[in-house]
Formats: sequence, C-alpha cells, structure tokens
Amino acid sequence: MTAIQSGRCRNDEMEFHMSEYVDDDRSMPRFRVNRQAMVDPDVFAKERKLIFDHTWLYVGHETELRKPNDFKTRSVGGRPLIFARDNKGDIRVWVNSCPHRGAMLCREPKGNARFMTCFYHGWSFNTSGDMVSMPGDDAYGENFERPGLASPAKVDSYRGFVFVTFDPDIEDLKSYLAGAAEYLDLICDQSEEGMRVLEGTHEYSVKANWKLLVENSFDGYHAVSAHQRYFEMVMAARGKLDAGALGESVGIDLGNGHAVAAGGPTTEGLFGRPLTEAGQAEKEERFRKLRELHGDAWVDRMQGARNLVIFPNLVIIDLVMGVVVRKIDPVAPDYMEVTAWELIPPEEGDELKKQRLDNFLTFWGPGGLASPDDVEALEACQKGFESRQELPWSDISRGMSRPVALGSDELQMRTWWRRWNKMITGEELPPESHEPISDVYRGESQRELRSMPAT
Amino acid sequence: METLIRIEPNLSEVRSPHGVIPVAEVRLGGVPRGAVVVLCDEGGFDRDSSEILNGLAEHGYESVAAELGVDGSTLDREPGTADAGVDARSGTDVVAEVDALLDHLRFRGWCDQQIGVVGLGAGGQIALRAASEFGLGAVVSISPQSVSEMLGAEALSWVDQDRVIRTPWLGLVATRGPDHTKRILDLESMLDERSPVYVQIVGYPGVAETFYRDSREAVEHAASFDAWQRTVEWLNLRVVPRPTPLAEAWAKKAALR
Repeated sequence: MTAIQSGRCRNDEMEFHMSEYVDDDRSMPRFRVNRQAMVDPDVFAKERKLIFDHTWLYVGHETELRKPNDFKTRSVGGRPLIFARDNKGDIRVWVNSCPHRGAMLCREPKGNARFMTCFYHGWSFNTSGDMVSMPGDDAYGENFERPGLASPAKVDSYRGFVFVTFDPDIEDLKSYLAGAAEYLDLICDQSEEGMRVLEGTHEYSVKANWKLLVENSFDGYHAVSAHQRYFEMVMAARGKLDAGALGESVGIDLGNGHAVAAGGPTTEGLFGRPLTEAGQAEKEERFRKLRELHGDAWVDRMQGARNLVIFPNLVIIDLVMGVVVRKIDPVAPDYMEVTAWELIPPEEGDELKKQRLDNFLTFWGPGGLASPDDVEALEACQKGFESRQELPWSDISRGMSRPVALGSDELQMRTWWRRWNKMITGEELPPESHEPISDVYRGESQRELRSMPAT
Repeated sequence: METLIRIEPNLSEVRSPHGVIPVAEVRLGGVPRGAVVVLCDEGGFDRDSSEILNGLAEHGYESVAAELGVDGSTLDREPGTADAGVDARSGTDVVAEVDALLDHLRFRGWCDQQIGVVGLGAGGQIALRAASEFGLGAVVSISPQSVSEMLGAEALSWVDQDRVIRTPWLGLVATRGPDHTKRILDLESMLDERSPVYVQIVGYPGVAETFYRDSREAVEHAASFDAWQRTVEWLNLRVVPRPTPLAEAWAKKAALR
C-alpha cells in the first residue's frame, strides 16, 4: 500500500469524504470501507503502531486477581504482559520479558507467585517489579544497575476494568472512555457488592480480520438472519417472541470511537430461556432493591440490553442475562484471537446463577447457538475479500438517513471506523447528525444525583 | 531427592517452653536461598530427615528437621497416646514448639518471610497450624494427618473455628474416592474464601497416606516425585530470597537516590 490518499470534495450541495479506506458520503448518504483494510499487512502494521500504541487497551478485571501475588498472563497490543496483584494487594501490570535477555518470565496463563524467575538464566523478580536475585551476581560488580521489570507507560482502572496504554502522552482513562464510562456504570451498578468475573475463560480464534468481530459485536442487523436457530429455540421455549422489542434500541456515538447499541427496557426479556418462577422472583427482588437505590430511570436503562465497544478492541455485551467481556487480539491480517469472560453479580442466588450460566453458554458458549454463527460469518467475509479487486468496498450505510439511528442500524460501526480512519490516515470525519435520542436512554442514577453538591 | 553430594546433618537440640526438641540440621555456606523447618511424621526423624534436608540443600535451602511430640521430646503426653500425634497436645504447645524451631533459624539471621515450613504426615497437620499462626514465606503440608483423615471432622472443625491461613499454604493429600475428593474441594474453598493468602490443595488418587516416600508402585513413585517437585516450587515461588552482599549494597544505594 502506498502513501495514504485522503481528500475532501465538494460537489454542489453534496459533500463526501474519502480516504483510501473510508468513503463517508453524506449526500447520498453512503458509508463504505475498503476491503483492503481487512487484508493488507501494511494496514495491519499501521494499526499496531498508530492505534494499539496510542489507545487505552483492556488488560483484565480486578476481580480476576483475588489474592496477593495472583497473576494472569495476557497479550495486549501485541505485547506479552503480566497482570498481577502484588504482595501488598495493589494491581500491577508488567511486561512479560526478562530485562536480562528477553525470555518471557511467566509462561503460564495464570497462577500465584510472589517471585517470578526467568528459566533462562535465573534472574528473579517480585510482583512489585523489583529484581530480587540473580545467580552469581558478584560477576556484575557493585555498581551494576539491577533492572526491574518494565511496565506499560500507564495503567489505570475504571470500576474494576483495568486498562494499559503504551503512550505516555495519552489523555487520562476517564476522559478517554468519554460516554462509554456511563455504560460501564450501567453494568457495574447491577451489583451492590461489585460485579465479579467468573473463573474461567472462553478462548477461541477466528480466521478473519479483527475488525470484523468489532463490527459484529454491535451489529444488531445480523441477529435475526445469522442467529435464526437461536431465535427458534427461544420461540420454542417461550411460545412467543416479541420481535417488536428489537426495534426499541438505538445506536449511540459515545465519543472517541466508542459506541453502543442500547436496548430499551423491553429488550430485557428478548433473549434467553424463560426463568423459573423462583428465578424470576429473585430477579424481581434484586431489581426492586436496585430501583430503591438508583431510581426507575437508571434501572430501566440497566434492564435493557446493550452492546458496547470501547475503541479499539474491548467489547462488553449485556444480553441474555449475562455480561460478556470480550477482548479481541489481532494476530495477523486474517487471524485474530478472542478471549471472553463472564461478569456476574456475586450476590445472586444459586437458582438465578444457574439459569444465568445456562443462558450465557447457550448463546455465547463455544458450542452455543450464537458465537459459532458469528465465527462462520466472519470467516466467510474474509474468504469473500479475496475478490476485492472486483468488489473493493463493504457497505456500512444502514440508518444514515434515519432521524435516530436504531440498534439494528450501523451508526455504531461508522463511529468506530471514523476513529480508525483518523488514527490511520489523519483524516478527521465529522460525526453524523441525528435527532436527540429519547429520554429513555438518558436517565441518570438518583444515587449520583443525590451525591452531587447542591448549587 | 537423591543428591550426588551428601551432607551429614548435624544433630543437636532446640529448647522450647515445653522442653528440649532433638533436631537435625543442614547449614550451608555462601548465601543460601532461604531456610526451611521440616516437621517429620512419626518415626520420620530417623528415617527421612537426612534425605529431605539434603534435597532442600540442593535447591539452596538450609534447614532444620524435628519430629514434634514423639519419644525424645519432653512433650508431656499421657502413656498410650503415641498414635494420637498432634491431637494429644494442645494447639498452643505445638505452636510454641514450631516457634522455638523458627527462633532457631531467626537466630541465624533469617526473617520469617525467608523461612518455609514443610510438614509430613502428623507434621503436615502442625504445618497447617503454623500457616495459621505465623506470617512465613510459605508452608507445605504433605499428607497431613487429620487433614487427610479429615478431612475429617477434626480438621474441618479446626478450620471451622474461624481460622484464617496467614501464610500461603499447599496441602498435598491422598484421596480416596469422590466423596473424599469433594470434602477436599470444600475445605480448599472454605480456606480460600476466608484467608487473605493463596491456598491450594492437590489430591493424589489411589495412593497410600505415606505416598511421599518413594515406592516401586508406579502411581506412588509418580505421586512422590510430583509432591516433592510441587513442594520445592511452592517454596521457590514464595520464600523471600536472602539478598547477597552486593544486592544489599545496591538496595542501599538505590534507596539514597
């Protein structure tokens, strides 16, 4: 791929922007993405350098590290990292590479260790990153500077979600999250004790470009066609399906490339097998208490479904009774690895938890009725991109002309792509103009309002 | 645990508030990695301690071994209770004896975080108590009596007394069928929920309680090998290494920056 060609053209009243990769035509309107962006190794290299080196990236949830010296090893932004709780209980993130000669210190996915010793030459470090020993240190002399572990430029967390960045000059995490922070609040406020990641992960790979799964993760349009079998199962279990609820969701640009497909209160019961009487009673009681704490407006929003993408690669989907946290790792232009966790309210009773897990696995599990459909669809797209000479563009225009974009529209994807385009080409595409969304999607927590100082 | 060079442990005594405890000890020159108290099972002091102390020396640990509560110590036990092991004495007595052994190492300059405890059989049960009473580097209980009986009422009731484990604790136990395994998992989960430190129990199905002694039986040989490997790894991952003189000098220099 040669130098980026970007431009802005005015043709009478019609206006369109077109970089090499994104065609954002507001006059038709039409939004297209060049399929070269999904296959080109040069684009992939640019993404590493221009996006993953300059954004906040999710590494893990604080509740995954329960005890001092618990650790998980993660790949973030192409780097091997150690996500750990140190001996004092503080969350730390270290580069998983010995400062001596580079070997990975931790070669296991998880564990508990106060000291991590490189198997190559035996240099040892504690979970606070300090070197504690090196075999035969007299050979180095008394002035030799003993290196500690390297860390990403910044580490920060928002309500238990821990992010790192490799850019020392990036804005703070809360500012970066912009409107996405409110949607994390909607998820975190579902538990008084604090939402917790359930032990265990789903790990799978997809032979497709990583951006295809980003698109898919907040694409409401594909649900009925690609997941037909799932909806048939729901129909069989419930006897009916209120498809109208699907229309009661909106797509929202949350700033900085983050976006959400947010469902109204009626979307709560759209997915999943029906709860047992006991499960339903427990759920109603839990939400009654939450209404007392936060008020109806906030809990109405909380009870709706939501598909959130935090730019570039964190997906949080609150659907089918389960909250899935999904990290997408690009490995090659046509290959990604995906790690997913389930977030649960720990105070939930056994019956409700059992049904939550069942519904979660039925939809999201590796043998479930949704995730495999998506993997198949994305791999089919990647295969189809081999014909990009004849069909160079993918269309993501749905809902551009609507006053308010629906969840089944593609505003979310366009929001993400505009940010991508800016970071890759430098071309800034203005956000779309739509009418304000309904108050249903804007209710605030009374708890926060109560805690605000009177003016 | 076989070593090429064999160190003959030094036999001596350690004074405790309850009398004198015979000990076997291996001291190392240079800067040892850490120190370990080995609590033998009944008869294990004569039979196993030399092997275990040499095995630990191979990994850089100097160590002291004792068999608490058997003939030779001055523990005040009723005649005829020789098989009762730990149960014959109060927990306070046992803790005081372990503390005396720790003092012996503290006197040699080891701080608690640089010390591990490894207990076998009845000694494993005492090691579990030590993990509750002291903030040490690491504790391993290999086939802890009454934790294996355990899993038993006695240990569970002990655990039920709102005990928390203060030192990262590894239990290596023989398991006897699904019910027993479930009790082990329950115990692990109870200790884990309650304790501020990491605890883990590993079960070995189909082996005798004394699986930590090597055997011609393939499954017991494997269990013995695995248990020793896990023991050393548990210590290496948690016992704070003693800094070398150069490391200490560097730390002082770095602190002044």
